[in-house]
Amino acid sequence: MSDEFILEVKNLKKYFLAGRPALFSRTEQYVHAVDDVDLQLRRGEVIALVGESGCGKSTLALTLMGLENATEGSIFFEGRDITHLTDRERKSTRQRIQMVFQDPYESLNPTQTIEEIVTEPLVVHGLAGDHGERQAHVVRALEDAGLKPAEEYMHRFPHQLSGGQRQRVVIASALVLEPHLLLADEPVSMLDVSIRAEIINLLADLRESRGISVIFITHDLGTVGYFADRVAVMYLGRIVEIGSMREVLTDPKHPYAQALLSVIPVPNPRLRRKRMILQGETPNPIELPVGCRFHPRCPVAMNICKESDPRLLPISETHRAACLLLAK
Amino acid sequence: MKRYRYLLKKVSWSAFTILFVLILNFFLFRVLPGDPVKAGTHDPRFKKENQEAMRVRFGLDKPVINCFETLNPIKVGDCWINPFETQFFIYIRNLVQGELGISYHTNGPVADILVERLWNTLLLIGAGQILSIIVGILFGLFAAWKARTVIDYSALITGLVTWSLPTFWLGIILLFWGSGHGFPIGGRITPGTSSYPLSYQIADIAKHMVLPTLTYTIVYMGEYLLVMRSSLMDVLSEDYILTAKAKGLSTFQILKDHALKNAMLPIVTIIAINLGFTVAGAIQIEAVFSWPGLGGAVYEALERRDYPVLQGVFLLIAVSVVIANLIADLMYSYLDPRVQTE
Repeated sequence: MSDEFILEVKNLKKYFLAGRPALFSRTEQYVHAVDDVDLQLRRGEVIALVGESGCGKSTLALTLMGLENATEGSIFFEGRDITHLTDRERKSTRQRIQMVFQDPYESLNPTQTIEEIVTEPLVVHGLAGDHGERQAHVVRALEDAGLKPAEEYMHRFPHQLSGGQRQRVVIASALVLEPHLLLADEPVSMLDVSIRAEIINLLADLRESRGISVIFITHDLGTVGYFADRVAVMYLGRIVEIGSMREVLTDPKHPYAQALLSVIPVPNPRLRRKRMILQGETPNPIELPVGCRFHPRCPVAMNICKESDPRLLPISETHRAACLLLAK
Repeated sequence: MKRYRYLLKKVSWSAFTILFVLILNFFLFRVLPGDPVKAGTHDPRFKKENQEAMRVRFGLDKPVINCFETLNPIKVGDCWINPFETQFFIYIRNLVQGELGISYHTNGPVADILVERLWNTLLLIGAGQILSIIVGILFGLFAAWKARTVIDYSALITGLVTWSLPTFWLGIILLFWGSGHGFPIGGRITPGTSSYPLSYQIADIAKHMVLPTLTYTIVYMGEYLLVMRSSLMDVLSEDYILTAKAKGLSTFQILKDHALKNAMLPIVTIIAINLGFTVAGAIQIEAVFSWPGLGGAVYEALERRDYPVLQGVFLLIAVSVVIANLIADLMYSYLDPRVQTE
């Protein structure tokens, strides 16, 4: 375990029992939500996890948070194996890994004031002894999250705030615990486009000022470019390409990553690019295709793709992709 | 400020509703076919003169309202009658003076009948209601907590079965069972014990209450159980519960601080509606166990066309339903901060 990495994920799998194919069938079927994921995150690093809906990126986040139990594999956080912990054992870890959920309209309890929401984590973890100290922490977290002056917001209820303000409250209630790792599960997808940049800038600032590592989950490659150091592209529960932001965005190797990238809108209307529109639907994650799991939709599939399941192959020191084209 | 305006709005709406009921109450029973004078006594020896005398005594000879002789069958009368001489005006004047009228049947004041019956009903149905709320909510909570386990499914099935049981059927079954185990089979007190010491009388009433209260609790528990279960399961699937878990709250803290307050909203509505109707009594239970409550009073008064009693009971029911709803609205504004600012 090197000290360099804050988070190390090894062969992580998360399967959900989906029932049986027939009423009296003996075999059980599983949804392969996360299927053999390896990931390493350095201190202060921001990694963007990109993929379409249902590719397992949210399940990965929930498993890292310990909100879902991993089926197989291991998760090391700051050198400690946190894969299977009881709630009691996990409590100290919870303080250091915090999560921002997708929908700020759902993730705030409507009956609590903003102050109560942001104070609660401090109380639960027994941080900041007296009332004054606690309040100081809350004010600082709110102002760091861009709600200034904090006093103006503290006594309001969530329904009295806009979507962007709510998401700032969610971020503040994560920040108040001074986490080392922040999991942001599509934190801007429910917000107006005009607000998105503000929230992303906020996360970028926090990373600068507090040195927090961030896993930024999104289905929109367009928002990644702003502040991610590295990008990981997920498809059907597996990382198919991972590399530095520049490498993946300018020179994607996996056909799926190329397709995702080709449909990002470009601000220049005269610039015409060839869009790569994928054919067919995402395969059912219960019965995965044999061979490469992308082959039924892949425009450059070869015969061998139906038989052999590619592993991540190195392209450069930091850039890897799981495509048989690279093996040749 | 907003809170007071909300309060004022709710209270004035309640007052308006009660006023509407007051007026409706008067006509509601007078359009029913049947003659109050004849309905009480099915005796052929009851002479014409005596019938007339009774009409005069209760003011039934007066026109119901201007331009209407009587509403049954609706027959337009003279519009030039002194409006202060109509039954409607007398009804309103009596009400303003706090007078509910005299029962045609017992010749006693309606208020006395109501008060006696109301206490009986509150005693029985109130106890049943409180028990079913407590038992139902606890079981519902437990079922939602242990969602999709054997405990949950058995609670679900129990709730569905007890809720759909016919009240009178369960009452009769329990009556059969109870009569073999030393429980009294009906009434509120054992006849002839009114001179016994108070402690004996209280124990006697309690004994009489066991079977009907049990029936009521079993039948109404199911509703609370099912609503509590589904409401709590809804809340537990919300993102803020997941957020709370991610923040490190224990299951108990999540239930106590986040889930319960939000899950109680639908329950408060049902409790309020049911509490209002509690006053109306459960006619089936009162009939099976010969319990002298308000439900029975309505039934008897309807048979005898005893307008003053009917008016009184319905006014009482309406007022209690309106007040229960008002309390529910106020509870809502306490439980859910979104309500006040609407």
